[in-house]
Amino acid sequence: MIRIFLRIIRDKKTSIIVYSVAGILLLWMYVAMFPSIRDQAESLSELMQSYPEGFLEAFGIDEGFNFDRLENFVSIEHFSLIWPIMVIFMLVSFAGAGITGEIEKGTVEIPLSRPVSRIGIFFGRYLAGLFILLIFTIFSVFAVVPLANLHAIDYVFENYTTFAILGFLFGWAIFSLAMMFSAFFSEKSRVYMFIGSLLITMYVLNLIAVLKESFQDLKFLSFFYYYDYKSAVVDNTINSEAIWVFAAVIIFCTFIGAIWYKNRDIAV
Amino acid sequence: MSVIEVQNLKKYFGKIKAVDDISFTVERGEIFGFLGPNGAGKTTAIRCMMDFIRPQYGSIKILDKDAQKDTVELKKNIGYLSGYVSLYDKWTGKTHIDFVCSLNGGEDRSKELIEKFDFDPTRKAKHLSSGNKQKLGLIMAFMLRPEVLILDEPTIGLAPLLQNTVYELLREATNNGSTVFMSSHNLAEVDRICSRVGIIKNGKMVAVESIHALKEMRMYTVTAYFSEDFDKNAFKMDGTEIAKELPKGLVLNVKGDLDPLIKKLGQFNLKDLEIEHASLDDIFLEYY
Repeated sequence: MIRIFLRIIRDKKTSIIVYSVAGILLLWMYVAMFPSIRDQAESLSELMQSYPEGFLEAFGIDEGFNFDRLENFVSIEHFSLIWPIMVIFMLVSFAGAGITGEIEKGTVEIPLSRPVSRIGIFFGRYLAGLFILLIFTIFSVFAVVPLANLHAIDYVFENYTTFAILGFLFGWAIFSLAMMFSAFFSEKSRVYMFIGSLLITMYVLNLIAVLKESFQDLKFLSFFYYYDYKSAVVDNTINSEAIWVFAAVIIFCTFIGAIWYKNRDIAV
Repeated sequence: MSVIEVQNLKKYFGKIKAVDDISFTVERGEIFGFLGPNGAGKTTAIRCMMDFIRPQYGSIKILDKDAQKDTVELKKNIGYLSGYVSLYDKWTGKTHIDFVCSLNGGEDRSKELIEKFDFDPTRKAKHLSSGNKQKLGLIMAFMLRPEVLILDEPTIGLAPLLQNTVYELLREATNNGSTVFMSSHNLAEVDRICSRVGIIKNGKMVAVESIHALKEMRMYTVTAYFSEDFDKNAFKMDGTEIAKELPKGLVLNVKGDLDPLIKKLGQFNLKDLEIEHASLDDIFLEYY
């Protein structure tokens, strides 16, 4: 398992660097923009009040919310959509290529014909994916510290630590789900289709729940409800419900994925 | 003690009976050829032996261990070559070799094999020809001196000279006590190196014979020329088949006892008669 883990990390080092640098550059862009946004905070607030209420709610902007703090700004601009999209793309493509992609291509026969258990192969890849997520989370979140210092902007370190924990759990849950689907199928395209459809459905359910009070319970079916970036970055809190839900998804999907991979036919 | 023991193996994919109740054994030091037409179930049976796919019924024992339960332990002693060698595009040959070594541990003979096959291990897999991919697959299968070699079409895509290198390696392996189970389409190759063969057709094992016994099967090709008109229907007999009609002659395929045909031929005025033992190819085709 360790050999497989190390081999994958060596193979993926360029991707890890590219993703992390992209995350840092995007964050840098928002941090660099912040001083001019802060100067216009009042007029932006007035402008926002003219937007439809539903539109603002959909983007997590409450009444009285303004861009006078870096945390307010990056939570809306960066951590609301761009950061999770990067995590989703990175982890779903890794999970799809790692398990199903190897079956589709036939390269899975190389480790399978050696004295390594299927569980070892599965968790070698699983741990590599988690490691990649950890590296990405650390660089793309905590880069705010040197960047804010560079631009002489105040920040609250603890809030970013809280978000890093939430973001890591969110990414881990999505990765576990992707690994489970990857263990089910023999074609990468089917994994991407299922995960893509599921996440889009979750996103839409969360939006509907925000916009229509009568459907508000639908939010409980969506990862995007539990991924409460604003509470984490702005208020330094994580809803315990989110931790339990993500933990349950992680345990369930990892267990089912590993067992399925152990028992399935790996026909090439 | 048999090194490979397959009992009543069944593997179905839905309604398709890919392998349907096959049994055979392979003894220590033997090169066992596994033959059959395309889609007969050879690769499916091999994948069951390697525990890539799980049979519905039956048992597979290799080195007295269960191929499914003890698969991890067993694979320390198995060298495997896929029928279609798939490699990691971005890895070089050396990366593949090092990876396999790191998973298995122990000493390897990859350098010697690289020289033998005249293989360049520094090239990335995506730049390798199919023949070079096959070479790398063979190096990975042989390099850890396994007790059992399971090879799916080992010489496919290789030049004749390299095919001879593979035959040498197989003989060397069996001389050192290894056992070889290989599938092949190349009947000349099977005739040359295998001691026994199993023939599979439509998922069923139709024969398990030594090459010697197969060659001893009484199958003949009889070519007869007659000096006068003859009635070809007179040769429609049990075990005799008219393969070809010639001007004033017939080519007959005969299975079993020749005597009734010879007696029948004696009733006609023969101009010429030729009797040949059927080739191994003809015998295999009979099973196919």
